[in-house]
Amino acid sequence: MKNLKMKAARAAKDYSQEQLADACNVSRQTISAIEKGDYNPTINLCIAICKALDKTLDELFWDEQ
Amino acid sequence: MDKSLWLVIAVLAGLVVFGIFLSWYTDRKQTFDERQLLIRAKAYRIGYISLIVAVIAITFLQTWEKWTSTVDTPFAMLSALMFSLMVFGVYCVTHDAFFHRTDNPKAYLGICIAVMLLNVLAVIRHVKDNGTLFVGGKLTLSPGGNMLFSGMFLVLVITIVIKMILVKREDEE
Repeated sequence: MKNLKMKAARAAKDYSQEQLADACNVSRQTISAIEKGDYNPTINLCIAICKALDKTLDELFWDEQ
Repeated sequence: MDKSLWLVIAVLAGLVVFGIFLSWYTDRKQTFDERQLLIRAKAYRIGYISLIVAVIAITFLQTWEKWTSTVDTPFAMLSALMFSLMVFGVYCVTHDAFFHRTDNPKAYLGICIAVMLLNVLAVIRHVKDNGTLFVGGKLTLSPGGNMLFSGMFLVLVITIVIKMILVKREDEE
């Protein structure tokens, strides 16, 4: 399932995938795969993404449904 | 011991040393991210299975007289090894796990093309000197090994180029 919340948060911060990848110390393709829903990140990477985007885990990775 | 067998042992020893160096180097720099490491683990598994399948296939082929009269056993075994390395490389490239964040794919591509061309030159030189690819009617490690290396790097170069085009197109979108 696509992670649109993360994509929106990244866009709101005006970050490119490359910039977010650099901030989280991963490759751009990994960020792309997370946003597309092709890869489930570990909790460590989730936390790094949340810190980079100033969001909580709930805001980015919790599925309400 | 047969000269070509020594060559295989030397190549394998070289690969082991290279593997140890690579392992130390990548550990030191911590370059691949978690998704890439996961994909590379799968690629190792697929490469290993490919090696087993290739070795079994060669073992069966060696019961065929026409095969044994034209293909040297060390060459056949090296081709199985190269095949599995190629499978590993292609799988990693297609799944974005071949280069780490700090790598420059264009520089790597240049190295691959240089290695490929050097091996092609070695094959051409052998054919020019001997008039044939075969040694004593058999395809042996020299120049067969060079053929395998050039073939493997050619496949790798083509895969990297296609991947770079696809990534560029994806970025433009």
